[in-house]
Order: sequence, then structure tokens, then C-alpha cells
Amino acid sequence: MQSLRYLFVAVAILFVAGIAYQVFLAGMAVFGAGVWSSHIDFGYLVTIVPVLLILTAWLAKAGRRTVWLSVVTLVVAQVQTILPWFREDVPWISALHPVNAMVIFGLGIVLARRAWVLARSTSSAAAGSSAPAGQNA
Amino acid sequence: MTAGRPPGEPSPSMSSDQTAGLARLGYVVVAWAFLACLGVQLFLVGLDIFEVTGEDVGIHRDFAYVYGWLAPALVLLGVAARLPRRTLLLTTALLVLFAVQTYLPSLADELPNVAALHAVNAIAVVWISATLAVTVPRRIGPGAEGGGS
Repeated sequence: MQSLRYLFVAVAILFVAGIAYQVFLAGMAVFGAGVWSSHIDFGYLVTIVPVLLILTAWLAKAGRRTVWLSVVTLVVAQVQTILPWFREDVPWISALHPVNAMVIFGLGIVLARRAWVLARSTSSAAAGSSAPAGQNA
Repeated sequence: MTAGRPPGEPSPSMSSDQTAGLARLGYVVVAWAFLACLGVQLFLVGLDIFEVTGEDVGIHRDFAYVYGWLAPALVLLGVAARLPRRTLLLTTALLVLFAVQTYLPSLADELPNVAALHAVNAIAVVWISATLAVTVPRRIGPGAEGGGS
């Protein structure tokens, strides 16, 4: 169980780092140091990671709230990929793309913190429960 | 220590306490206003990227100068409010990162890779701003320990 909880931590941190890199790719395209296709291609990759978040959160028994938060992250991440489609017809909706990116990043941070606290608290509890047992032995 | 002062007379520190209280209220209001402006700023950059406002990034840039003064105001309010040292450091970091944020686009021609950090730095600015807006009211609210540490 403990290794699954650390796996959840790893996936959450990976997701947050991926979002940061994705934003960097956008910056590269805006300032002419890169191309938008890099941002688009990596975007489709990183927005799949929340599926792993849901899976690892569920396997790690992170609690209903955390699992649902992972589901919300997946939904918001998928919305992110759809937003640019409105560019021609309703461009102001597409303009929400950077705002939504911050929401996704925030959700990633919240999940990473929850995963970390869960993993650490389990470690502490295990250490706490093993110490008296050792003394009694 | 209060000998010689008639009962009911306000203590000499009352005035500074009131000032700190007002500064704390001001800090919370400004912190939330700054965060709201960052949200608008992100929407404006979206308008620019998706060419709702044309190729010109003027609105996004100009709006930053409209609300940018809130960052140094937060530092001053934080000092006046006698907020905890860690909060003051975080507020100062926000000011520094915001200053860096306004400078980064000027490197677009010479160092476009560095200028691209403008977008990543925006995450840091929003993150710190959100952290301050959410956590400071909790720390200075009723029942919270006094600052100054």
C-alpha cells in the first residue's frame, strides 16, 4: 500500500512538472523560440496523466474526495484541449485557455500535497505503531 | 506598568494596534484584488494569443502596469500589519517575481528562451498570490496567533 501511495505522489508531481513544461512550451512559441505544434502535441500527452492520477489515487486508497478531485482534474484538463477549438466561432471562450491552465496547475498542486501528506502520514503511523511493538518484544 | 493611568484610558499601544488591524484588513483586500487582476491578466493574454484583440499585446501589457502597484502596496501593508516573517518574505518574493515578470518580455529578441520563462514565472506569481490570499486571512483571523515571529 505504501509503495502505491508513493506512486500516487510521483504521478502527481510528474503532472505538475508536465503542466509547468507545457506552459514553458507556450512561452517558447509566443516569443518565437519554439513552435505551437510542440505545445499542442505535448498538451495531448500531459492531459492524459490525470487518468493515471485517478487510478493511483484509487489504488492508494486516497479517499473519495481525492479520487473525485482527480476526476475533476481530468475533466478540466480535457476542457483545456477543447477550448482552442472555439477560436473561430467564439474566440473569447478560447481565451479562457490560459486561465484554465492555472486552474489545472492549482488542482495538480492540491493533489500532489494530498498525496504527499497521505504517504507521509502512513509512514509516520507505521513507524509509530512499530516502535511500541518493538519495545514489547 | 499601568500605574498612574486612570481606568478606561486607552493604552498607548492602542493606536498602533488599530493601525496594524487596518493594515491587515487592507492586506487581505489587496491580496484578493491582486489575485483577481492576475485572473483577468491571464484572460487578456488569451485574447491576445487567440487574436481576439489582433496581434497587438498592448492590452495585456498595459493592464499589468495598471494593477502592478498592488505588489509593492502588499509589502508595505504586510510590514504595517506586522505579519509573520515568512508571510513578509513570501510577499517580497511576489514583488520580486512580478518585477522579473515585467522584464522578461524585453529579452524576446536577444534571448527568446529566457523570455519564454515569462509564462512559467506567471505560474509562480499566481501560485504565491493565491497562497497569500488564502492563507493570510486564516493566520490573522480570530483565534490565530499574533504575528511578528
